[in-house]
Amino acid sequence: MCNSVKLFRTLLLLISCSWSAGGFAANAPGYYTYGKAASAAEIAGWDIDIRPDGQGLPEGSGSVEDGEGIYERKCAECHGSFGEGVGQFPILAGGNDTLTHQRPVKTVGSYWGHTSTLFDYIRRTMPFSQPASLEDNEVYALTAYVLYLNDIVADDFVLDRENFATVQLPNRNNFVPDPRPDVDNKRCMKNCRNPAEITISSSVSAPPPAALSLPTAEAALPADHPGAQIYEQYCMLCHKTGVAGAPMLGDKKQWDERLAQGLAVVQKHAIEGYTGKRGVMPAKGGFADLADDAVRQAVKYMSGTEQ
Amino acid sequence: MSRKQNDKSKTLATESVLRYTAAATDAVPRSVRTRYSAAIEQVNNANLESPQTKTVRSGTNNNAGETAGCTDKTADHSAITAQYSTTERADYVNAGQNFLAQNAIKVDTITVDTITAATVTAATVTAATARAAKAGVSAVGRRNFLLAGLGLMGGAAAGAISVIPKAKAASNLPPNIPSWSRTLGSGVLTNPYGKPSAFEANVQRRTVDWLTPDRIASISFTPLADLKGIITPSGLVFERYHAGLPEIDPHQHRLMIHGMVERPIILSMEDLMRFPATSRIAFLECPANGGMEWRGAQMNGVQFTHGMLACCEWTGVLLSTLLAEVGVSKQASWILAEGADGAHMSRSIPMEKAMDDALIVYAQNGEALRPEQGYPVRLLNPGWEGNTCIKWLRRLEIGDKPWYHREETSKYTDLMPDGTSREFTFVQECNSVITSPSPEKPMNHGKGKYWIEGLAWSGRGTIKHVDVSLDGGVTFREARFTSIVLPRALTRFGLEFDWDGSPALLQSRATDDTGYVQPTYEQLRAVRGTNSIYHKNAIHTWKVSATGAVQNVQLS
Repeated sequence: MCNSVKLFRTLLLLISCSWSAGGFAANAPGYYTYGKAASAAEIAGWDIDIRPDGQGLPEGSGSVEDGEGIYERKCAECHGSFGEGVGQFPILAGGNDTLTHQRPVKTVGSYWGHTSTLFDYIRRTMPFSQPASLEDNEVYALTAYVLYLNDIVADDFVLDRENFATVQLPNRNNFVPDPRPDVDNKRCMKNCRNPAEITISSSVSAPPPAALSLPTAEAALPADHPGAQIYEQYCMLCHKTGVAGAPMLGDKKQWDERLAQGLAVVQKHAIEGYTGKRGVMPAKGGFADLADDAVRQAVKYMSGTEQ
Repeated sequence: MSRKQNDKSKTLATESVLRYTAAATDAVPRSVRTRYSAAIEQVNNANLESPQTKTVRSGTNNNAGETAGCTDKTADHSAITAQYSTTERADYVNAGQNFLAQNAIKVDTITVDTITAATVTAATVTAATARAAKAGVSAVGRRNFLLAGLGLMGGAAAGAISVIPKAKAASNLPPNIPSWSRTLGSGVLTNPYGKPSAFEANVQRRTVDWLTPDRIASISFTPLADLKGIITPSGLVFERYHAGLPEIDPHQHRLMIHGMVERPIILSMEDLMRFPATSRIAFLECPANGGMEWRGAQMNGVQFTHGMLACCEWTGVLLSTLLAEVGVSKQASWILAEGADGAHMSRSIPMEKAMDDALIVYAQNGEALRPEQGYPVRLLNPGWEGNTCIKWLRRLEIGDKPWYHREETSKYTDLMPDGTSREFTFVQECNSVITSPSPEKPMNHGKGKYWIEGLAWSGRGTIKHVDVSLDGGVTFREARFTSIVLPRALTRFGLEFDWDGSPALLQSRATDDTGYVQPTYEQLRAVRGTNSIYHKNAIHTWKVSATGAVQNVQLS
């Protein structure tokens, strides 16, 4: 009797264990002891996430005013001075009340649900070309400034950990759980629709191309050019897309105009920075640690000049 | 002007999708006040643009939309749902043609194959010659190289990029003995790590440049039309980066597990590989797969309509094993997974999935994960949005609430016609597509028998039926499975088709073991409108013309 009660309890325990482990009996914590214990300092260095309830917010603060200066230096190049987005880079502001339009504009102000998302995202990966390089106070200031661009805070606002939760985004209550499956098609095999009513509502008229384009050994821009890697790592963001008037990779016309003053002059401008009629070249593209020679090689690569 | 007075012009500036010209950057005014005046000026300037400029603009970065798909930290308003309205349509066709011209897709005709083969061979050997010359190969090496070259080259002159004349190509056909049968081939270790035949060089990932502003935060597509079976070769699995492909030294990579646990730990790759391992075959699909088609047919090729899709054998440790090892608190209900790339890509994963079948993966198709797929370790949530399967995984934090990070709020939420958005839409629902015929695989043998084949998959379970229609959905015939049928994996189907040479409308429709039947566009749009970007799994239609050409169309 006693034994069978014991057995029953053991069985119950086994069932609850396997329930929690998706069909397998779970081992006790530390069963394998592989790896090492994570220290508080190690965790603190990597634990960068912020939650809507403010969990994870660091000490610090930042004002709209401070944010403006940082934004102009580090963000406006892609996002535009008003958060309107340059080229295809993301629009940060505006678009209010457009979510039901045929062309919704989804921005921090019109779409995002939580201020913490903004702080978290800026902190973990912005600016695009130098991810996770901002100080916490800069992140506070930039968050405040983007909120300001969206008319969510006033121009004298200072954001900090204490007042963070008071800043709420307009679209926060418009997110709903996943209701799928939300369609109910039937498996019909015959006479499923009237053939007379079938019309082609849209089609792609461009035929698939008949020729194959493969890179050849004679490619104009050899991938083993010493400047190629520098370009890809540091220059591509602007020089592929023409951001801020940057002459684009391999665009002979744009580069020849500049090379008319001599390769050395163009290289000097790239190293020291240059403001011209059509655009701005920050010194070394903003990568101060880049060697002068690396910049020279990248200029040669982009302009198609001999190595 | 006061700030409030300026609001109107500011809104106008933003919503006109003002694009800064290069000239403007010089003169970016520093104070907010003067900036607004500048904005008005910009709008005026924008209005003065030539029609030609405008065309290019709307084709490449229409404001309409939303992100390039598998969202992107850069491309917030690119073309993924920027399909054309009636008036804009011409622009998109232009953009599409430009794109297609830049990313040539092979058309599978015999003539083109011949040209292709010759071109590839010549180009390859030329490159090899250059490399060999550079390296200063030894006499023996040079001899081997020349032998190899001869074997590859067939009748073409060494180093020349030329087309093999038809007569020459025919000389390898019966009754003649082919050139490769009369020479020695290359030796072992010519390729210590093997690669596809040079004749297969056309089978490659491709991108759509106008979807994203750069290739660092961008996507490339799997060439579905050329693949067989259900396993996607590792080198052809679509790529998705938000901050480029990181190069990670596995010896210095660590996976940290912490939060609401008894024993926060840090695992090296060596530690991780000591745990009991599991392998499973599962598909991986970006939820934006096909997102460009919500408003209408836009991409001419199955690589681009469905190519954010792959299926591999994945090997690793069940996440539930690791969670048991760290001792998860009873109050815990969510896990934050975070990558080690510059994007520090992060998603909140419910505990149920973690305890069910989520896998911490370090191997793919029998070898270490490819860098593109998250080397040295990634998360895989079988059947769920590809974006939740965090690559280059560095951290798992256990918590009691979701984090609402950027990729689960601003992106990967589905905007409905009433202005609400669905969040945490994890499952990739039942879907299918015919991969041949397709725009890449036209029916170029005239009337007669054709083998139709394609892929079906469901994030909820196992494919039960795939039905194929040749008449635009009036009549369906059940196809048969030509692969192993596994839950949450690609399943290949096929059906023989006797073509009478008249135009046809080809469709496939999959049903999974929950009874869910793949919906029509009409059904999907009735519920979700056209602005939800993600999770488009509608029945797809290929139009076959009398010439055998295949075109992407949508029916109403």
